[in-house]
Amino acid sequence: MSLKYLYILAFLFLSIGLFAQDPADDLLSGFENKATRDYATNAFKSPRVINGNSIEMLPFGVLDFRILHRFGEISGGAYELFGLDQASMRMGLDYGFNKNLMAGIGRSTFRKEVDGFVKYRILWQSKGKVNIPISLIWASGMMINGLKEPVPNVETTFSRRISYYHQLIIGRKFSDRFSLQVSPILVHQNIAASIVDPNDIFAVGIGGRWKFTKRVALTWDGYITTNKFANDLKRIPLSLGVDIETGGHVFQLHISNSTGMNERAFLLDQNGDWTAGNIRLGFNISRWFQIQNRKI
Amino acid sequence: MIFKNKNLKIAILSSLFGALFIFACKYEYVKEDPVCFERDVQPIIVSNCTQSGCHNAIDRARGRDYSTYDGILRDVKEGNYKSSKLYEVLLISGGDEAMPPKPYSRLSTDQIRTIASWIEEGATNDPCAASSCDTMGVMSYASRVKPILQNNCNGCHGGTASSGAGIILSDYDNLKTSVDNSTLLGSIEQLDGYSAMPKGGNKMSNCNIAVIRKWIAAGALNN
Repeated sequence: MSLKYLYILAFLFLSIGLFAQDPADDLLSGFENKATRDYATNAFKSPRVINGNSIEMLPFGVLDFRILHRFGEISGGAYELFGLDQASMRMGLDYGFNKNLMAGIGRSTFRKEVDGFVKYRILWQSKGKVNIPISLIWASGMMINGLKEPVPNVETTFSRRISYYHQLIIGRKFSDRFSLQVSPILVHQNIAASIVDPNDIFAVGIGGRWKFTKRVALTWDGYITTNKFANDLKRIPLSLGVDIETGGHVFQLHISNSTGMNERAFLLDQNGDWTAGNIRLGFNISRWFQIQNRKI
Repeated sequence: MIFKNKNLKIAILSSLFGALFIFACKYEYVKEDPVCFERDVQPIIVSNCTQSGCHNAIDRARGRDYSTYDGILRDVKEGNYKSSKLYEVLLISGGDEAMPPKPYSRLSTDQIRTIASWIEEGATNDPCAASSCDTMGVMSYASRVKPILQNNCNGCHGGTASSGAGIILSDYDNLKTSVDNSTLLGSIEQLDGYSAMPKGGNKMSNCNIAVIRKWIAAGALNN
């Protein structure tokens, strides 16, 4: 089946990336005094644009405690406090194992779903001694449905709880103000909802940021799904947000038509129709703790 | 040695994880009761496609008569919903080809899913199999509806519903309020504009929703 080849190809490609970068780093480290290589940093304020992964990585030794909230539809009006009466949340811990590798776990209230991911930087945008115009990141993750009965009226097995995602994120920091990224993603669910729902869903994410002051930036994050059943472009997950940075904290406030806070949830679950105004408020809080210091 | 040991380790570990991802994939889907043309598909098509001036035996808009099984089958490729005209036109969102045409609204995703599943399963006109979901006869509040609410809703919406936004579904009078303002059906069918229920869980089975829908359609009696 063609999909299997796709996996293998993608995997080979990624493995090459793993081996390809480090020699360059090694060579460089020997000549640090003679040549400098300027890496593009702070393309985004956080490793997540809003919902999806960004080209930003956690620095070595940093533990990022993330609390995400998504509320009910704004159309609920004042009676529902514009949706704030209904909160869905995800708590997560991410850690930077080295400058190019980070991993994280989290748990969402929706479906009591636990997720974990690994994110690896294959290429890091830089200029100077080494000129690389883009950053290239690989992320893979797994989501486990924690409900007692994950699929109603179907015998529960562990594999039926699980879905995966694999994602490449290609992005560039064009200027101090403007960053843009494109991120093709494959989400696999072991059990689909019906005979016509595909197990593998492909989508392409487009995320970006426009920083208008030192501490405040406008962000957007959308994913165009391709082969979802009855794919409806009015229901693709779209989010528009404001990032506010206050030393050590990043607040990400946004409006979105999706409630999902992991890749399976915001890509596979039914999102609101944004042309009909089915949008909600949400925010992410990120707090960094430096728990390991740089080795000298 | 050109590779630092640590990086080699990372590469090997990632390869192992990658292998795990590849081999742990399964391709299953939830097998519901087979879709039955007469019970499930025909009512959707009759109410949405055969109005006056459309695809009925008299008007035959664009040469199509969807009032019979054979007429519908003309636009169906059995076993392949993706290349069936009947499915394609339901997805198009604008223009001349989009069905149902303006000012009628697009079918719901669940309705499209019913039609697509029927095509994918072979688009037969077999007599309806006895369903494991019994929606024949009268849906009584006490014997059919109340147990569903008890199992799925009353954890939050019982008693004084302090953890259920004050919406009480455990007694008839309070339940009737939610029926009359249509929030009950909107929430369990998870329609836009309603708070999707059960919160934090999966949508209730089609069977449970069908039972409640039928009970409401019959007047939501305290029977």
